[in-house]
Amino acid sequence: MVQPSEAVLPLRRLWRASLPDYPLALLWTPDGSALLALPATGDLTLLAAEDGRALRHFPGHPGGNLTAHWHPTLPLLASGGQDANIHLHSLDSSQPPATLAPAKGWIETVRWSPDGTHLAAAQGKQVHLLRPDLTLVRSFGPHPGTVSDLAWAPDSRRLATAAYRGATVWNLNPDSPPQSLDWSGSSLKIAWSPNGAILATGDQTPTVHIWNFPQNQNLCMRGYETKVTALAWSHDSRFLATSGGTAAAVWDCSGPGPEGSEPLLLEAHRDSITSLAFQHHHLLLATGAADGTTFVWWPGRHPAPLLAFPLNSPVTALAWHPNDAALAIASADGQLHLCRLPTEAEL
Amino acid sequence: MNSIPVTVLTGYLGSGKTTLLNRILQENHGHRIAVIENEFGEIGIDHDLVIGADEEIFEMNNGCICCTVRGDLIRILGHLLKRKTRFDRILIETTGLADPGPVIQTFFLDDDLKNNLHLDAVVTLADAKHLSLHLGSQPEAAEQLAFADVILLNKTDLVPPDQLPLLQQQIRTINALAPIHPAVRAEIPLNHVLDIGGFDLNRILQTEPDFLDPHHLEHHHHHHQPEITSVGLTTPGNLDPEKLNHWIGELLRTKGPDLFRLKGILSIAGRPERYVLQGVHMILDGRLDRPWGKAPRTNTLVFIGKNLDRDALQRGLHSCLVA
Repeated sequence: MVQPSEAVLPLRRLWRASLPDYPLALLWTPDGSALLALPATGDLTLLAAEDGRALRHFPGHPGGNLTAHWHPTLPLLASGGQDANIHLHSLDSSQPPATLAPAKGWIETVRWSPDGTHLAAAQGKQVHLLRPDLTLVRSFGPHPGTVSDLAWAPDSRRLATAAYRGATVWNLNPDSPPQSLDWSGSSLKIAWSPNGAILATGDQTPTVHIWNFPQNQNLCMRGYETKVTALAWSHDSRFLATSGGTAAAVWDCSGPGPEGSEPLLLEAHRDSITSLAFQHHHLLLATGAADGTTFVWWPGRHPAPLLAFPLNSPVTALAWHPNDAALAIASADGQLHLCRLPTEAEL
Repeated sequence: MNSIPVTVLTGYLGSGKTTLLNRILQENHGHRIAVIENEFGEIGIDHDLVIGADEEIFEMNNGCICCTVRGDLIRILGHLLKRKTRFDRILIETTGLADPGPVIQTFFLDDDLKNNLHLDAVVTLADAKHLSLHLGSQPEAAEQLAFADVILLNKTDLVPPDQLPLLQQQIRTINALAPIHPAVRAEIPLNHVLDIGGFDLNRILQTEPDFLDPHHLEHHHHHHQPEITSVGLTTPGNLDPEKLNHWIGELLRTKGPDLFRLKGILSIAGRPERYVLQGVHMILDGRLDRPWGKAPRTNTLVFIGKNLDRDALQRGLHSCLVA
């Protein structure tokens, strides 16, 4: 294992805040003014970007929260939980959220389409397609198993779902049949490359599957230590970072693609990687692990981490600020830290 | 962080799983218990948490029964582990028709669960009045007995006392290892069903040093040999570790789906310590235990499974002996 060298600089903490329970996800508002923290149980908390003070609480889901997502342009937050409800919280109103329980079962994932016209919500073996007012357009399914994750294509016309037996690509046009990307195993996470060319899954069997649509090629990447629960694409669609052990495996999907190639292995954590986040417009990758460490890397340019931030509790979520200059880090003990990149003078 | 014990309650419909569950929950033990149920029974909850689940089995590898796990348990337990409120114990009540194999394998094959939880025991309830009927008609009933670490022969008040030995004999043929506790209305001291260490080799040997006592392992002769049986082998001498590895590996590879449980204490040539092993389908866990000391070195292996060929197993074990 490569030890972090003396040259690793610390991330500088701007503020910290506490959550009442394990943070499942961190979500910046699209304008970057506030950060939403989604705890495992209890209310969702909106924190001010400048100092971390609590701006607002949104009612959580009885039994436990599972997912949340900001609308790309409107001041709307969708959330889902074990109570089978989808909540639609409005930032402009103090009213209780609009609520919909499409059927029985956990709402495992909610995702707005990039153009904001639809909300997709996974519930058991079905995926519900909703309008922003929560009216149901239709349901995709049943899938062969519980849908574990969703990803919209950048064109907002196709929706990819991960479940047992791989992935399915659904078309919003009801006349187009779904495309089954069956590999007979179970997928946990799914991520579309920002250019829409490649779909990647992280799997329960320690593998990653890649479907390259223009090249009509699919690949199975092996060699992982543990199930792959985190995936992150670089904004230029070149790099796919994957968890599945103490090292982050980063696949170079440019040119001929990753077939037959070796991934870059980013090795510095001492326990399994739990979170991955690429910057929105630049190429730094943040990795967080169960050992409490967060590292920031420049894949393809520097083999060792550039920046580090150690905590005493497993990292559970990472989120770059929309301006890419700050990184929010959450840990299992409910602590939340906003850190900034060092300035040029500090380098 | 301490690993949380998990107890799996199985048993055919009407065998009294919910009654036992309620007894465990109502006992004043001061523990916080999370219950995962596939069928909603009438459960008294106070400080505890009850979560409903829809049984969802999937194969981690294409078509391999030994790699089937329960997706619902992975999801539910994964979220349970994230809550700030910690639980001291987890009870899983399966449906009357559930196959215990995937439930057990989930705790050995999923990374998150493996690291934070441990399977304590499979507790199987059998309805004394209907056991013979179920065994004759429902394969699940025999499988649930075969996978058990502890068997509660419940509702014994509903059968004439002279039938009990026969019922126990019937169970023993399927599972020669699990203790059988006769009970009425699932009344049983909780230390007979909790903290058993059914998958913990060292624990088994500490608490029941003679659990592999050969007298449990007689070859039963029946006119209707059931498909699921226990086969116990004992042989003195020392085993060649390479031959043993090869034999067991090949056995699991070819017969894994039919092997439900496997437990053994073996004498490895050149090692002063006893070698203990336990397995579920193709998952095998073996380690060196305490030294033999003055005890006679011998090899004892018990298989519980379907279509077991005693003679072939015996020959296999013998082929591993150092010449």
